[in-house]
Amino acid sequence: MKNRSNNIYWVTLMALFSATLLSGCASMGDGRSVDDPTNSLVFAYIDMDDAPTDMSYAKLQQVAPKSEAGYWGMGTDEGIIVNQYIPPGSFQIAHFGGNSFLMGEHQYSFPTYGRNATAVTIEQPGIYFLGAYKYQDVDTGFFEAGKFSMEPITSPTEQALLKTIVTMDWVKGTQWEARIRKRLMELSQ
Amino acid sequence: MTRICSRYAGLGIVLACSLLAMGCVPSSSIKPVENLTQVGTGSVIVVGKIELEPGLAPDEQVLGSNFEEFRDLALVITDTELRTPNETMSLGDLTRRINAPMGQTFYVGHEAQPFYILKSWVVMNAEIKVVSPSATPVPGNAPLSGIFKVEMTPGDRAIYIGTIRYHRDPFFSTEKVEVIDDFAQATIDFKQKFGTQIALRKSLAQPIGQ
Repeated sequence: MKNRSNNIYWVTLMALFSATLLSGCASMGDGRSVDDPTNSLVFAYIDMDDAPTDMSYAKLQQVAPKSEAGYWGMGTDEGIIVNQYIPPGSFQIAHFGGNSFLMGEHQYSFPTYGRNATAVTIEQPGIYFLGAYKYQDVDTGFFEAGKFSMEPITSPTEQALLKTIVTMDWVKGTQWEARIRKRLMELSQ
Repeated sequence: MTRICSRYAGLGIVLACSLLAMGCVPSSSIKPVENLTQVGTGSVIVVGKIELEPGLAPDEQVLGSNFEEFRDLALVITDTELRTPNETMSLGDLTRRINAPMGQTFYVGHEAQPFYILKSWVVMNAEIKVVSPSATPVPGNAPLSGIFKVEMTPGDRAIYIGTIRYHRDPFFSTEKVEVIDDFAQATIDFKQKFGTQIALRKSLAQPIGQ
């Protein structure tokens, strides 16, 4: 009986943990202040129109320097994924996911080893655009795991995405108001 | 890039298992050679070395106790035919692999035909563990990119293919590959190990693609 209780507790705990992961609405700063001047803003866009699900969470892998957590949660909003707490280092998007009533929960993963198109090395704090992509299914055999590709797209642009990001609630009253506007000025020249 | 539908994973827990974890890795027909009696007719001793720069950190590979044999080891798939490895590899190809201890000279018995090194990798994660359905599967292998051709000539009994040094970036992408010729030292080591009954001929691996 005790074992069963433990199992239920464990499964409940994991379910809560999963729910936290899947809520995906909050960027995780890992204790860093949003106004830390060493923060970088890292963002990308994924068009999920042709995907089985929407995107409700995304994870940025920190490949260097090595960290205990290894991953940074990304905020997601209408295809935009963003984190405003990223310290210097090397990063790339590791996986993202979502769910739909008909298709259930899906996770989309890049290979863990090897550089993917979103890889970035941050030496100086700044605003880093990892690109805009369109999700595309790749045909596989019936018994094979599903595969997908990420096709680069030219729209929305970095400028268009930043204009959306600067209106997000978390930006107001932080250093990012000025930093994003400065970047927008640079892009408009 | 892979897509996983976790509703098929069911409730509760699933066992994380890979080919490695299931013990499905077939043994290789390319065996280490310790003495000349192990080299049959139609076989050639292939001598070489695999290096990784920067090398693996002590805790970089996460291997369960059953998988310690893969620590500091490069798995090198060879074939006598050139193929596009990512599209045509199968489990059977593992029977044609050189298990190359990283940074150490290997001596293996290989069929006496020119061959290609099609694919190489390092096993980074191999352990049996219980995970939740929502856990992120961590792919187990880090690729060492590069395809190489190795020539042989009739009468060869032992060939030296050089040191293949893979330079990696922080993402574990192969940035550059060098084939280093250390034939003089390899010859000395070869004679110490096998005597002077057969000669070691230099036939360096030639990079022919990614």
